[in-house]
Amino acid sequence: MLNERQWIQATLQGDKEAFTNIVEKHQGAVFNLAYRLLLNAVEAEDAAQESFVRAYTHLSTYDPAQSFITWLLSITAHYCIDVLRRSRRAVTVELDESRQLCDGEADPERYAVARERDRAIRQALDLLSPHYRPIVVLRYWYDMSCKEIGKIVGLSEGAVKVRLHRAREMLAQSVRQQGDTAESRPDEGFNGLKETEGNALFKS
Amino acid sequence: MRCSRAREMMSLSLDEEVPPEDTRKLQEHIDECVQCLHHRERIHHISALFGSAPLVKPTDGLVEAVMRRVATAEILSAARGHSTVSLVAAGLLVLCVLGMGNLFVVVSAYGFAQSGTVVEFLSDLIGIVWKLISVVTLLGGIGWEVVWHAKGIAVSQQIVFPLMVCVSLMLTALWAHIIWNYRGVNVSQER
Ligand SMILES: [Zn+2]
Repeated sequence: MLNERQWIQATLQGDKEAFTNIVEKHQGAVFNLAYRLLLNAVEAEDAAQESFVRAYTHLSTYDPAQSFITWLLSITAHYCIDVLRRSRRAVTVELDESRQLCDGEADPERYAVARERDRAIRQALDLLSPHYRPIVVLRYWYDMSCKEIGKIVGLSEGAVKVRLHRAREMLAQSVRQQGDTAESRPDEGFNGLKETEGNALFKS
Repeated sequence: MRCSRAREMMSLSLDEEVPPEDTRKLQEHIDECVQCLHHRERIHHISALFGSAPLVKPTDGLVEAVMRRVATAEILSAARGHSTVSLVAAGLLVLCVLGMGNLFVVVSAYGFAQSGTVVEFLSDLIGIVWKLISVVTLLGGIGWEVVWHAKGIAVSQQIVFPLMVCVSLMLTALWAHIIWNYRGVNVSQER
């Protein structure tokens, strides 16, 4: 079994089979990023494919001193940001298979909860413009430091922190409004959601 | 501490280590300010919502689809490599060949070749082929462009189309020129 470094080396020498291993290993991370950024399962599939093709054709520019997954995710992020900027209003399309959302065999109840949560997340991320969404997704789903995120989106560490703060303000604001419309008391919707996960918060 | 500063610090504390002194000041503010307390709860809720979601998975065929596209990308990049170097050479070669055809057409149209000889037959034949080639080159150039355009490659990125258009326009003009000039000569000679 070869490691990632060897797969990259073999791919550069023309061994396509080696690149298959790279795609298999990272497809989850790449697809998830594309889906969270585009909020559209169909477009995300295409964006994930495009990311890997770009990684393949530009593999010689990858600096082995850096993390490969960070390099790969930055290709995906750039591609998706471009797509978001080009299309004025994104149409959200949910995932259509239960195994895309849940690990292993999912019973209907667990799937229903996962779907509801996914819908709430899409609705929340939909509030954020292309300036904010990639930063939030990279921070929460990939646990990247502000410095790493800054490298990917071309901002200083400080600017990333400012955007994260603003994004959280926007999200908190919407939680508040959702609570206002759902209940007479501002924070009841929010508190209720805390107990029953993904229940009332982002319901439209 | 002002509310705006407190909220900034709340966000910061999620991304980096905040000095204990600041944490204490923040807590003091939250103890007194119910709006900021609620704000913190909402932010924590968002974190919980995002943090609870596992990575979603792609459909089964992603790896195969990527490898198919990788193969196509290789063919396209190979073709693009060709277009800059060898297609210029090919274009020049085509020009030379058609230049020869041009010569035969002049012979044919002028009536230089003796009637009933092999030279006359060849001149007429090559003359017709040459005319056909100029039409085919033009149509082929347009067809080629349509295909490449469908694959998302801009006209400026390739050399084939402009080259083909130039060649075919030049030859068509030459052909029209010859017909115009020498058709009449032939007729007057026969009189
Ligand atoms: Zn306050």
